[in-house]
Amino acid sequence: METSVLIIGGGITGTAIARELSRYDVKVALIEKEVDISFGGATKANTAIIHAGYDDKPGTLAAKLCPRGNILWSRLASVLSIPFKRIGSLVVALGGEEASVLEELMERGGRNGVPNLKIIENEELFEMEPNLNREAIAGLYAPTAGIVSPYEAAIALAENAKQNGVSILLGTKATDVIVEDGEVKAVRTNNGRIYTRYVLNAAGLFADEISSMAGIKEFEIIPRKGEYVIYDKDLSGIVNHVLFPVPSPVSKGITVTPTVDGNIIAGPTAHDIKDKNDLTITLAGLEEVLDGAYKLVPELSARRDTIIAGFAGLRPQPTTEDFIIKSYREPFGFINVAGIKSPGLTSAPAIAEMVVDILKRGGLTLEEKDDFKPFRKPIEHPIRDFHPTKTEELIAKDPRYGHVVCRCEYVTEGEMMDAIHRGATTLDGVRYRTRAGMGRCQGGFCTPHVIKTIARELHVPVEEVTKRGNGSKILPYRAKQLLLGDERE
Amino acid sequence: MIERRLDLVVIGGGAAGLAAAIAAKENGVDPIMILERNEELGGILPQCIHTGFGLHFFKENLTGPEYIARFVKKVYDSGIEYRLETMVLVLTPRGEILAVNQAEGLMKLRADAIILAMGCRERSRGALCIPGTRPAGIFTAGTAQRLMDIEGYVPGKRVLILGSGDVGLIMARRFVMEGAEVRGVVEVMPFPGGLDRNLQCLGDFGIPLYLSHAAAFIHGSERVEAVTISRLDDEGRPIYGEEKTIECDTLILSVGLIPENELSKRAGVKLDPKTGGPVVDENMETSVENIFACGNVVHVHDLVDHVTQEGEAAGRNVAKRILGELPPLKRRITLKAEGNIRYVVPQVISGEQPLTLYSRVKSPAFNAEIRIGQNIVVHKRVVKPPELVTIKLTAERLKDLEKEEETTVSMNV
Amino acid sequence: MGCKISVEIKDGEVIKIENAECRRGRDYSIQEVTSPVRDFFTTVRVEGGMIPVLSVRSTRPIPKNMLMACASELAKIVISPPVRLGDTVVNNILNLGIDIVATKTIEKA
Repeated sequence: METSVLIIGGGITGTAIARELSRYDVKVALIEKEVDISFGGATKANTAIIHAGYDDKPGTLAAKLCPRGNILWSRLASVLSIPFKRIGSLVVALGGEEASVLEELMERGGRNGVPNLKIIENEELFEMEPNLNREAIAGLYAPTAGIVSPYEAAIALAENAKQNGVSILLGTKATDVIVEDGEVKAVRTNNGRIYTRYVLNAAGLFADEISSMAGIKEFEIIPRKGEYVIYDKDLSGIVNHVLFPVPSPVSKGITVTPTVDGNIIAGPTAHDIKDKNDLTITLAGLEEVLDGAYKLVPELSARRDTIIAGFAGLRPQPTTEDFIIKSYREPFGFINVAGIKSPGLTSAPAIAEMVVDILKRGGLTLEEKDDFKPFRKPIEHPIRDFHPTKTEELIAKDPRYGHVVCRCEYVTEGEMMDAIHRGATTLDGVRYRTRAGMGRCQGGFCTPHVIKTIARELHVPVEEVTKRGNGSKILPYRAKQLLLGDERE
Repeated sequence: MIERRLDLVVIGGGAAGLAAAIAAKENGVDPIMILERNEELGGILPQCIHTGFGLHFFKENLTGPEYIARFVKKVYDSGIEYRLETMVLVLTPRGEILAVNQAEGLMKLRADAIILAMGCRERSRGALCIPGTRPAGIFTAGTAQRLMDIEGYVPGKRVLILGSGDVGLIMARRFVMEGAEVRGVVEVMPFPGGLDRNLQCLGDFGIPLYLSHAAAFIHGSERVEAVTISRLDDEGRPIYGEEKTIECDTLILSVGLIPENELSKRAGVKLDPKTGGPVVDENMETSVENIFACGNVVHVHDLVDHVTQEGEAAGRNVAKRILGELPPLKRRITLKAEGNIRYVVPQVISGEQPLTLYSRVKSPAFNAEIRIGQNIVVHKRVVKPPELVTIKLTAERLKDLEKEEETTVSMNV
Repeated sequence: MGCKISVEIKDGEVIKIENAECRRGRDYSIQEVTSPVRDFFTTVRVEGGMIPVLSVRSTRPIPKNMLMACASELAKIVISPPVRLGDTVVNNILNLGIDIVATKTIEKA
């Protein structure tokens, strides 16, 4: 297969670039090694925050791209119908020493161009957050911070990119970058060779390995694990903003924040590990998250029984301490978009802009399409997002929108069908697009139905349906198959 | 939008809801509508293909489907209306309901009385925060039961079961009967959680029972590959160095049932944190007038026979209420569970009507002495956590009950 | 509920029973140590019905050591609806003099 620009990686970075490039009259392809967008790395497991941008060291790429990305998110979320809320954030100082850090952050924010930062104290602080630890003495308020659904965002970006002509190749893993005469020629994958002039390396955790394939070994990616805990929607309202502790050199600290779906999450921890595939949650991690959460919101210690799940994400921490977004003289055509850890999610739209700029300056002619379709129609959630007249209309149009399948999140049969027809081929694919299985019963009631629907719609046997592709089969055997000695491995 | 006025709406068409609707109908309530989320009536019973149902109520040893078929038939024969695959979205304290289904779309119902019979859901791996990976192959026991005995699939062939409660033990037997290997049953307490007759399958099939053990880590990146369990000390903490890793491809969780009270909460019904269900009085009425509750939504039962009895009581009381023969309780004595008593239902009594109290204990005991207030003492030869303790408060006994606002029901540990 | 019964056996015969509080308990404990039986229940595959498996049970408890044999025997068959609750699915399974009956009604799909 042949293309002009090949993006390696279907996370938030790769899909944001794909969508941005799809404005232009240029052939673009994106490859993702997992079976679905956002399944790969950090995109599906992070704090889901659109940061204001005061954390990053002035002069770094992160410091420049984060506030810019922050501004771009409103429009992006609106045109692509990505769930997003600008709820504001508070960095909380619990004691005199910490208060001086707030001043530093405010000053840094000023230099990075972050608007409307304000130090809040005393009564006002507790009015904003009634459940905040009474030992809090001040908070840095950033009204531009927000929360988003990161995997829905990546899926939406990919859908819109595809709508506008980008080829999205799932289950496709880069195994080598072929360079000839100092120029990128092709990328070898498990599904054959893709000839391309430009390679954009947005491979997240594996970006160092891809970069090595192209002969560029200037950095390594160290997986930095972060564990989280999700609370039941019952706790909605316990906090109103994204709450941060005062940051450490290693991370922004253990946050307590609402999610855009109405849950509360706490986390992440920050520990460097060796294995880029280690997403295990641990007892120590859980206790660390809870300790951090209780420091900000002591009330949470009485609500441990409302935890519905724990999960872990891996930050692709570069050894360079900043994003690596650059082209090279040799091999020409290879562009690294690597080390996109926090504030990567926030910066993504701005990173996309920057990459387009790099391509232009590198000689690629990019002419805007006349027929670029900026809008993406979302999957309708008629019961979850109940609307007095709209819900009735949707059900009248397609009665399957009246059949509730996921009882915790009010997901209907209609939405499940939409998810499958829009690319979900796995249980997690349906989950990420509809939230079926993400509620308090964690799929206890809906899983049988979701599996059957996937099997029916994609014409595959139930035994072949997986949780997230490859070997993650859910129901490997039919009734009596084991008794009859007829097991297929 | 469809709009209907009814005498009674029963939310949940399982054992409790069916019994309640039938009793209400038999006592003159009409029209009645049962709203059920599933594709058939019967609640959890159609997938409970094992025996042990009806020993008390019918004096027969029936399977779940056989037991519930008798009630479903009565519903069909009696003209009680019902709607399947119907989800209640809103319930107000004034008895207004917004529900939705595929066939009719949205519907607004208004009832003079509501009976909550939504049953319970299972505690998940996520809620327990069991460490490890998040692979395919982890199922709660009820979900595995549905997949096996309604959908016709076997979720795995080398199974480890967490929790020695009834559902887990029943699934142990089912897995063996389907040709799978059950590698063990793991229980955090030093004593098993299920009824003795369900524990039999462990001896029958040579399945190891690991008491005082908990799941420490789940292994397997795509599908479960093994589970590490660790021994617990007397305080329930893992003892480091006393771990065992059991190879398996399936982990079944039977680690707790939680009454499903989302609707109850939103209707302003007061819940008892000890049961997870509504606070009810001896009429099975909740804190909201004309909203009654019965079955597993009130507290987790061990025998469906008790559920049926509770449902019938609720249905009869609704009938009396609608006929103007059941005023709300004038005197209200709140019962507080203490000591070895985990909870008691009903939580509020008048002290003027004989009734049966249902209770659960925290730890097993022989020759138990249960004290209600200062003067009433009830003796039980054996009490165990998995078995509901029934305490008959006769008119005679109630004479000795102090007419206070609050009385304790206690048992020394 | 329930009592803890002790049974003493010699040469395969029960010679002493302690703590049995009722006739049923006595009979059960004798049976359990001499020739234990179990309620037998499982599913049978269905072709062309509203659901793919039919729950079934034995009309009487079967010998404990025949549980797997009966399960394997029933694994071989596939039935066609309609089947009514109580219908005999297998007559005299494995010559035990016990039938296997349907415990629910399944209509044609």
